[in-house]
Amino acid sequence: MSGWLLAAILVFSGCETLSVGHALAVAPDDITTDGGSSARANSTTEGPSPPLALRWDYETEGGFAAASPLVAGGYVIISSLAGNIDVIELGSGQKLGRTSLGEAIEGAPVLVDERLLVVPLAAGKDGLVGYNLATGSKAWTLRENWHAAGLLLSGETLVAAALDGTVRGIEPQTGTARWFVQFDTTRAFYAAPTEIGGNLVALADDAGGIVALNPATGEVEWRSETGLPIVRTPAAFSGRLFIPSTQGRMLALDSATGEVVWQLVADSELIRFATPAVDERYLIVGASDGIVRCLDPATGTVLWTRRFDGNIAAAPLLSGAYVFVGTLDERVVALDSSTGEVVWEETLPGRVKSAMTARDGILVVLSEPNFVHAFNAQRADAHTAEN
Amino acid sequence: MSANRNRSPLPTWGFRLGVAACVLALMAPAAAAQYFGRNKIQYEQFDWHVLETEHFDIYYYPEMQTLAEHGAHFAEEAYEELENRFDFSLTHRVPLIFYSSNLHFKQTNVTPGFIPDGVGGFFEFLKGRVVVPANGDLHRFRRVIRHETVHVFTYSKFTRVLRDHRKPVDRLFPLWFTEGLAEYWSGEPDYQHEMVLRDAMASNFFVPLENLNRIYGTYVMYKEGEALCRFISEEYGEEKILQLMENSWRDSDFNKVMEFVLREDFHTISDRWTTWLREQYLPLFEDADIPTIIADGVASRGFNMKPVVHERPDGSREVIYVANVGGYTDVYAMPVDDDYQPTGDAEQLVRGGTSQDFEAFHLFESRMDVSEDGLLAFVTQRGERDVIHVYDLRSRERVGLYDFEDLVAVYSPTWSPDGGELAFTGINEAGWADLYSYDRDSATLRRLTNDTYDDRDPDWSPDGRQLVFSSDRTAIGANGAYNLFTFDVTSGNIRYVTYGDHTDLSPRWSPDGSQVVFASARRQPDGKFSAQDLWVADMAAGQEPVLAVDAPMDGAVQERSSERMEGSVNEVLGPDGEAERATDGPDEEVGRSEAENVVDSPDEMADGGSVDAVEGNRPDPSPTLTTARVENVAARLDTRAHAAIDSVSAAVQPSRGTELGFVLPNTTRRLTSFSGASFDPVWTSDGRLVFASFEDQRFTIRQMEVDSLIAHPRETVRSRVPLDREPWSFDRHVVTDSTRSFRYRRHYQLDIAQGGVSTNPVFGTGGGASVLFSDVIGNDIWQVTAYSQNTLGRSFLESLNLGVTRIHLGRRANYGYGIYRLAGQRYDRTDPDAPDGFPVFYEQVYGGIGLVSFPLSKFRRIEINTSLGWSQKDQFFDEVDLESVLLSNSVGLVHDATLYGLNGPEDGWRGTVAAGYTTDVLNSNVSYYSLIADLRKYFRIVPGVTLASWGTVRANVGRRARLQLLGGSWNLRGYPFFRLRGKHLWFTSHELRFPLAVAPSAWIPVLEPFGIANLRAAVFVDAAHLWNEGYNDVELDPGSGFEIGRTIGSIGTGVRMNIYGGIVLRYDIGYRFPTGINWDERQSFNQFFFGFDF
Repeated sequence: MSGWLLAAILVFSGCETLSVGHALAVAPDDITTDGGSSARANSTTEGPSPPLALRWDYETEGGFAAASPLVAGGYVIISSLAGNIDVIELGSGQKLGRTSLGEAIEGAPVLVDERLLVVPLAAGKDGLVGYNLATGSKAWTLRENWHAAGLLLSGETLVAAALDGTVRGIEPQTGTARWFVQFDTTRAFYAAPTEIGGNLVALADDAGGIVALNPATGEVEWRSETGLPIVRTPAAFSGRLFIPSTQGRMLALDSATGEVVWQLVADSELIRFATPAVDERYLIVGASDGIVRCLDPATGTVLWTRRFDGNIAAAPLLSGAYVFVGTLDERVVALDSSTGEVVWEETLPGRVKSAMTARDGILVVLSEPNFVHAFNAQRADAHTAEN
Repeated sequence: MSANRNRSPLPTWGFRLGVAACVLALMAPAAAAQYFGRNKIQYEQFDWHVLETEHFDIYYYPEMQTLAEHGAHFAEEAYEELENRFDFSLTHRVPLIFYSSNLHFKQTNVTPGFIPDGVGGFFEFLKGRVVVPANGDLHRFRRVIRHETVHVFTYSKFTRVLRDHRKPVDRLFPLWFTEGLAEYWSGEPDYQHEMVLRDAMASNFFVPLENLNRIYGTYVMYKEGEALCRFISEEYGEEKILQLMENSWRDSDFNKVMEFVLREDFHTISDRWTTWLREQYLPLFEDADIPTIIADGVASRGFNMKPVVHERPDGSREVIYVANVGGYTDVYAMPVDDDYQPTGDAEQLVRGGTSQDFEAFHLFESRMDVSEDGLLAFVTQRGERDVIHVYDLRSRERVGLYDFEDLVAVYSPTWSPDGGELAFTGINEAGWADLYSYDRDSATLRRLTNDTYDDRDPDWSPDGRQLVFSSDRTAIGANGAYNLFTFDVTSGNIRYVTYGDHTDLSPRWSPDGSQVVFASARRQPDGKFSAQDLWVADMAAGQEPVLAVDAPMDGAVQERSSERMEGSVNEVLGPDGEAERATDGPDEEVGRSEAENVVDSPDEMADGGSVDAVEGNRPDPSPTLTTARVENVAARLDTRAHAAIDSVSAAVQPSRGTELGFVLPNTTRRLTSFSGASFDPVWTSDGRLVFASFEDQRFTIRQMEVDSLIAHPRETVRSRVPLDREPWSFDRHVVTDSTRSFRYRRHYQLDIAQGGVSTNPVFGTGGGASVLFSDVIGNDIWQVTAYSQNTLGRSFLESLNLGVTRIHLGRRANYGYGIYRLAGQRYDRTDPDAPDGFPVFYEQVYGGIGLVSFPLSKFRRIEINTSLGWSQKDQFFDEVDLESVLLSNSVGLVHDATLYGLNGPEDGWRGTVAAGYTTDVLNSNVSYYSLIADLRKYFRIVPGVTLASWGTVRANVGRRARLQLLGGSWNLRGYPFFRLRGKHLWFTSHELRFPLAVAPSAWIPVLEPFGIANLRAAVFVDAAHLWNEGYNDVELDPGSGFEIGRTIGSIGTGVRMNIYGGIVLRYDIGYRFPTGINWDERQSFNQFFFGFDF
């Protein structure tokens, strides 16, 4: 008997559980998907005003992918490449819990409702996991296909694009597939689906194909071939789909037709654009040449540029008069969104290669190797989590 | 600069030591055993400086500052590109250590190993350092910097991906991918890449993907890896290269990662790659010349290069060449008949790699030449510099040796027709390769060119008026092209002979001076290089020459160099010489080029754009020469203009249809269409071409008649030189801020830290740690060791051992010193005070050590060791305490000129003699002398089969002398490890070593997964005699049960296998004769151990 007890202690002593214990109080402005919205605009009104002060640090296990953290019900939800999900209190940075799904999470999960978090897995026996945060248990699993792309909840359908060219429309509560489309199996989806309006969702593959389909039925509305590998998630705004490519081009497509409206051609084909941030004023995009470019989203006209020492692989975060940028030379920077002037910067322990999130005046930044940082405004009159 | 004729060996030879082992030996207060090994000598005391760029710390010495600034620019240029390619930024500064030449590079202490010729640079994991030499070729320098920077990015990204996914960093990418990617992202495939791949396809040496480990680490594997990366990029998409890295966490088996990313079965990928290559290359062979068919072989054993022909007054002749046959690089003479058919065996004239004078040949880089009177001029490394040897082929003896103090490297000497001068390529301390001429009578050296271009392989014309040479000074040299030029010895004018995006190398005059034969690989319309074929250029006089733009001579030449015109195109003629295609303007454009003089000042031509500043190229200050001509050259340098990159780029872009250009008078004809490559042609007086050929992955010397080839050329070309042929240069990263450019200040970084704890019911709990620090350059090493063995009744401190040692390798004489405290139970069978049966006692020692190793040459050194220590022994079994202060000094001479194979020495000899004295300065309880003589000779009977003979004598004579140990798989076989002991001994061993399976992985594939690199066997006989007082006084050693005082031995056989190229496992069986050499008293034994052959 004592032997079994010892064995049980040995087996379970290393386990961690993640149970919020109750339904999350998800508010309309909460960040339940990568990029802040289904359009992946990476734009918010919730960000703090620089200069910023570090509010808390948190250390998880494993590195981070390009997607942003989620924030809902006063909690930050972090997924890691080591397969962990961490839930942290937004205000204090206190750890609520952690669970391991065992395999790398390369794409962003999506919070379906106050309980259900659907997580894409990039390896292992499961492809998607529906995880009940309230009970700390798996609600369902889909044992097909691996997913490196983030998920999209569009209406009542969860859209999942896999590494083998498969796209599924899934009923989120049960994991049941509503529809299934098999595209070219030699093409992989690394970029998450983006809602582009008109009841359409756009998906871009790593060979440059873009398809717009109806998330309810899976019917393809239009297709476009750019010939430019796309591995970062596009953003959509006001009838435009902004495509960051890996070959020195940034495209703006008409969301309704897929036709190219304008394109930005960089100096070199080697330049890789990151996911942009966009609002009605600006389209701001970083690239591997270390340059942040601010464009007119309507015309593609470059309004300003700002060069940094390190590659910029993460989506910026537009927040009113500021835009926050993370760089691979271990910095997070706040720029004046109208001029590109640096108004605040902080050096972090490692590279920033994930998109940021802001909520209630708290900016959440992920940095290598496994740190979560929360910043809020230094000034008392600035917008912070406390006020 | 001075030159020393027939310079005698100087006491400036060298090498370095394997110091750590010596330190350990010195911690024992007795005369130390000497260790073998060759010496890596720090000839130069480099005055290291640091230049900080945005991402790199550049380490260089002032003599090469200009080169270092070029290198800094190349590094940042590479970084900017690779940051995009890898989608990754480095978060650490990369130490980038430059050397101006290969000979300086060979002295680096960043790696303890020897660096052979041909190593372009390396990246090491310990501190992430990149080490790159320049050696006169800026293109190569640039490419290697880029190559190594790819390694830095690859390693950083790979480890980051694994750590992000919480995977242990317990793997690396396969070498074909690492090296292939580094080559692929370093630039377009060069002519050597094409040469290797073409031959691999033509000769069916191509190794498919699934078997690439069979050619692990070879040049072919590198090139196949490059081709594989290119295949992935072109067939699957460039993005897949990055995805291979980013998905490397998925599986430790890279083949499975490939399958996942490329979405195809591994064997399908392999098959597609093979097909992809065959489709490209097989059509090229439809009309190809096979060297072994169209040319007769002269020398084909081993690697054979650099042929020349020696004709005696009696008409007999021999082909002289450099060859590596079985490990040594030597000069051979092959006697040939009138048809150049070998008439006997090749005679070895000079053996390389075993003596000071012929330390190393530059097998692939330096040609030889024979004068009219049979004097052979060739180059070897001799200590810190290259020297030119003059060897009389008639008397078979060396008659001259030329050493130039200010030249580090020397290549390809060529005789003037009268034999009075030698012209050659020299590389100075600054790293620039220029042409020099040495007058033997006046012992003066002239510098003929003085710029940053790479001038190679000069050959003196039969009339003595010109040198033809290969150089990247061509207007499109910025692209890496090499064309041929002539240097007028009288006027200093440099003229084009060939022009185009070629690699034109190794020119030689025809005997009548009307033509030049050379090897050339040419860029094809598809961007690839052609085979390296043999060409001839018509050098007929009477035609207007085209002056090279960068002729570094007088002002008139320079002015002519600056005309600006656009474009170039080759004029291709049919076999009859009629133009088949001519897209350029008429020849009268020549007149225009002569008429326009525009001199751009350096300021006007400088181009901005680098981080701190970018300056136009400025040739380095000329070293002091002894001749008046030197001043002339220096004056010209000050006024030279240098184009910025942009203008050069404009110049090299052919503008089709332009009528501006300058048609060269030299018609060139391609004589061959080889499947592989040809090198170093020589035009004999009787109309033959003797050359080196690359075919079937072998370099052989071949010959063929030249007249028929010229009569039916494969191609005839007349080149056109663009008239805006300005001097080109690469940008430099110049830092004037003293906070970012400063003298090197030594600081130490951790290399290794290791520790451990063990628990033993008998010996107690023990634990400790050792840390090793060194500086970036690797000159200074500190080692700190602490451990404790807690035994019953002893406290932690009573059993605490500490040692601090410093080793300095930055000078020719390496030295080390340290202090230590040793305390605890010791098991020491050499200690005469230790109990016989179980030699364990408690001892504590406080002391210090010092050592100096002075290399006389690469092969020989003097070692001096000293130690002083206070010792207190507590012999609890004997209930005796001993206290002493032991002073021990020793001096030894070590020689090692052996050729190593995978399992141990195969040829040559090594030996040591050493003497020491140890005394107790406190109580005079200890006073003894130590003598060691050890000689090991290796007779290579045939390749792979060696008879090894070893004889040694050792003695410790005096009061309380330590005992010598013998026994075990490393010496007296059949006896337990170090179980025989005595104050005196002699020992001899003779062993015949031979292979069982040369390539066991091919013959026995099941061995391959176990990394078994070879399988060999040996038969041996060993004999020894140990004694204490009287030679024949038989004593029983109670500790071992064996008797000493009589001659004992063993005989047996065994197998050895090398695993992963590093560990040798040994298993022996046989008979031992512990009671004297008596067959009837034999005892059988078997013994398993590890270690290299003696």
